[in-house]
Amino acid sequence: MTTRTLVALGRAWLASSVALVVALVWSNMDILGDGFWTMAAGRIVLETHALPGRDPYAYTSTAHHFILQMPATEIGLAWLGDHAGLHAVLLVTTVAVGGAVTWVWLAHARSVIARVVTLPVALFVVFLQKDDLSVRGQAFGDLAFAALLACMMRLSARARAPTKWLTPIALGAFWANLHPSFLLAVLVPLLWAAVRVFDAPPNRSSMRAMATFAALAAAGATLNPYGPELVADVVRLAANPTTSQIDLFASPDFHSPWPLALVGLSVATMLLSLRWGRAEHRASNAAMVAVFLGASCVARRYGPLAAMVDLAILGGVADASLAHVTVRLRDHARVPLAMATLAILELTAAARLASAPKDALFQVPAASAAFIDAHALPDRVFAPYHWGGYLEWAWRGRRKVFVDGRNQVFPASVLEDARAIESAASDARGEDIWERLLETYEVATVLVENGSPLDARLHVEPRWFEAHRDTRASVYVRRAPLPR
Amino acid sequence: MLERIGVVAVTALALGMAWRDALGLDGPWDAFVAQQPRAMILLALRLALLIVAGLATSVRRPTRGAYAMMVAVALLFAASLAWRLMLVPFVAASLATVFLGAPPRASVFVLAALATAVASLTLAPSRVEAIAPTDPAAATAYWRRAENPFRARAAAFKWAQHEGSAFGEGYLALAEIDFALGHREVAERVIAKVVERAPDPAMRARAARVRDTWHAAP
Repeated sequence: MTTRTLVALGRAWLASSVALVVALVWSNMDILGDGFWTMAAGRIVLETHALPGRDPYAYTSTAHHFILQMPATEIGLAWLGDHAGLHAVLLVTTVAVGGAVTWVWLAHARSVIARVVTLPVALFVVFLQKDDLSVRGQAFGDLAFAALLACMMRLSARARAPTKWLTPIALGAFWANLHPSFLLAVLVPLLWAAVRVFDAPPNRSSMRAMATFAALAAAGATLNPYGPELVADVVRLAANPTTSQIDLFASPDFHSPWPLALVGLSVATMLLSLRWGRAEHRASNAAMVAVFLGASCVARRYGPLAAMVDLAILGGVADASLAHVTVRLRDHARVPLAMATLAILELTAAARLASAPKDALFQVPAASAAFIDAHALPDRVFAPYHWGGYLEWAWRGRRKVFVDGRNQVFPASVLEDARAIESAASDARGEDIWERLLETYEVATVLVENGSPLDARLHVEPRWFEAHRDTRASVYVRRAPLPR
Repeated sequence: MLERIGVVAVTALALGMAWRDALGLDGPWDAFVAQQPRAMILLALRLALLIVAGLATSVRRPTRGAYAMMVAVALLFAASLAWRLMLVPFVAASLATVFLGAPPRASVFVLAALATAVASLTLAPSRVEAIAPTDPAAATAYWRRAENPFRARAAAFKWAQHEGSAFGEGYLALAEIDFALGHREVAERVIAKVVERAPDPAMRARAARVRDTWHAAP
């Protein structure tokens, strides 16, 4: 077998592996409420050619000075959705998530053997977030995180790292316009610099470069349509108590296997890094893995990021520790056959995953929303938190919604009340809180998920009648208007 | 001597916290939840012990026994997240691994013990949820401050109902909230009652000023 054939086989395997990663992302990608409000917000800018001053979509919102927190994502996805359709939106987000994972995988595992060994970890990064994969700014934030990891590893590898001024500024600006997670562009380099204290003093030279990187990224983040105001707004969002009430920012369920698998992966990465990692930074890299492991225990959101850090560090460890295996395998007769077989198997799996039919409106109450609009049912409409974003997109501001996924624009009490209504809550004396709250918020129409507690209660409540029911949702209307 | 004091201090503290967490009222077989009180301190303790045990194992040329201990520590770490009771064996195993590997200086332990104790004292207070007052006037002010006009309106409605013949403040608040909610007609009706019939002339004048600002608004 010639070297050229081997190289070609290696490339074919690489291409099929990337296809498998992207296909796995595609098969789990959906558009949920967050994706729809993202597009709805961007659409206002496209229609008015101005940034909205007040929140145009929710009637319980208190955003007196409304800020689009990810302007490029919101405007870009809105344009794409309106001009190329929802499948194009799904595809672009898929490429962003798949690109992030592929970047981390290929940038840090340079040899073929290291890439073969770490491919399951790359697939695990996708699998770990399969229930959360959806169209939203976070996908583009993760792409920026992959770029940040590449920068950090490059800074670590240099004994004396000259900071290129443009890279952190560009990363900060790019990230701040895409997703509020741009704060990581400042926090992660500072943390990485701090954990350098675990290394021997001669190996701490990159600390200053990392601190400089953080400062420049912070400066770059102000390059957005709102300037420093957006940065301040995102810091307020991070500190907002309602953020910690979002399920994505709660601890994972450690009684289920996948969060524990991530813990296992991170601990294994730590130990492997301590044993076989680059001698000069093995302690600090292990500490960084521990930091992200801690973050992933605090909030589910950080799980994929922790897995990406593991993937990056494991790639380097595999490169360093498996070099002798590469030499031994180079002349092995069965290697080409094994690579070809792997490539065919991966391509087959990718084709199967990618060919499954995909309905962009599968998760949302499209028929019920259209019914409310077509029959001009009375305002105000109550709908579950996770459907608010879709209703904003579908109704295009013709009627406002109760709540949606933009927790920062709602008072905590409104979000609590939304949960109480959704769960048809009663108080300690058995009185229906939900009914009182529907009156308080002057709700005249309710859109509910079929089979939900609220659906069951409204179905037998004489003051409400069922106006519509389809396979996903039902619509109830108050029989008599509220007294004033 | 100092080293022994340090070792005893940190072991007692770590095991004490672990035990208290594990056998607390919340149940030893529950999974770790970071949003519960003291959970963050215990997570920091877990991670610190994991790092120290890993470092201690890797400093010297490790023996097969040290590796086995480290694997046990890793498994117990994961187990302590799934069942809080497992925090006790995890702390014990990680401390044992540290001493089998390379015992760190006593000062590190004393510092860790002090830091954990300070963190425990300063970060542990339980969260006090704000509760809306039951008095309708106070509740109206509370909900207005909380920027929830719907709840404020419900409170103001109750306030106005209970004002009796000496009405004024409650009705005025109700009118202002109705206006803010976009119910202009209702707001006009309510404020007119105050302007025309409130027993207190000062209140009537105040309500008239409020109405003038509405009419002046575009």
